[in-house]
Amino acid sequence: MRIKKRYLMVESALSILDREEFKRQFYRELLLVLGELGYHKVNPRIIRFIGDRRFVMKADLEGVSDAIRATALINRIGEQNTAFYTLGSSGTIKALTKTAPEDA
Amino acid sequence: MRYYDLVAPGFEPDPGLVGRLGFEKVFSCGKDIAFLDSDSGAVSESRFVCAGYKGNGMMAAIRNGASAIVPLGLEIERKVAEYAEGSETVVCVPVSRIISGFGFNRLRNIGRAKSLLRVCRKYGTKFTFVTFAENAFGMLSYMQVIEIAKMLGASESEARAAVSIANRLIVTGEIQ
Repeated sequence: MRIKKRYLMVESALSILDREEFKRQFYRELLLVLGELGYHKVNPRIIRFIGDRRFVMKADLEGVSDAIRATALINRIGEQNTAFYTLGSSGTIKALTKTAPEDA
Repeated sequence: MRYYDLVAPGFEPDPGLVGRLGFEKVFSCGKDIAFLDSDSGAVSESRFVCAGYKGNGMMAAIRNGASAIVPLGLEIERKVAEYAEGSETVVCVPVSRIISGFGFNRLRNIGRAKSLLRVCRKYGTKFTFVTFAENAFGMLSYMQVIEIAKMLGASESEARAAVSIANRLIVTGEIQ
């Protein structure tokens, strides 16, 4: 059976400079917050960056609540304090950009 | 549904950010509603929010008709909860206190917040969830506040009602 996914629009309080390094650090923090079992349940993937602060994260449907909580609990990336705001969630990227417009 | 939030005195969030986070309005203590530190003094306004650590100060605030009390230590004495039961005072859970910190410190805060909610339920005290952020790093979107509330043991409907109706009621005193 196909696993259902949800897309989350996440905004960082600070600008994202190096995207690849950011991805590594973000996944590491998610793993710390969720634990290995939780990470497996959420199965997070950053699939698109929008501007210098926003990105679209894909998560499995059953772990979407954990994904939203995890973004709330991450308060540092590397050595820098930051915050992440989940602006919206949807089943498709197209609908997500409608609920959380990119130019807002 | 419209969502509202309450932030700590001295902090006024960027209106653009407030809109993006999904809140209709974020009320600022000391600006939109009078603020009282539980460790000191008294206020003359009819509606005010009292925040602090001490149980005695909060008891006095409830007696003086506080709209809401914010236990910054995420703990509330049973006698305070019992006293708040018969009043209109709402206990606000400051979510930014839970998300700050890391590791065992944060786990301790989550445990305390769960316990706070349990005590409120036991004594029938009204409770709500606010970020009570002191800066932009302490802010959360309404979705995140609701999910954190659910993590602490609130039901989906309780969490949504708390973040929408109850938070507005604290400041304006009128039901939308």
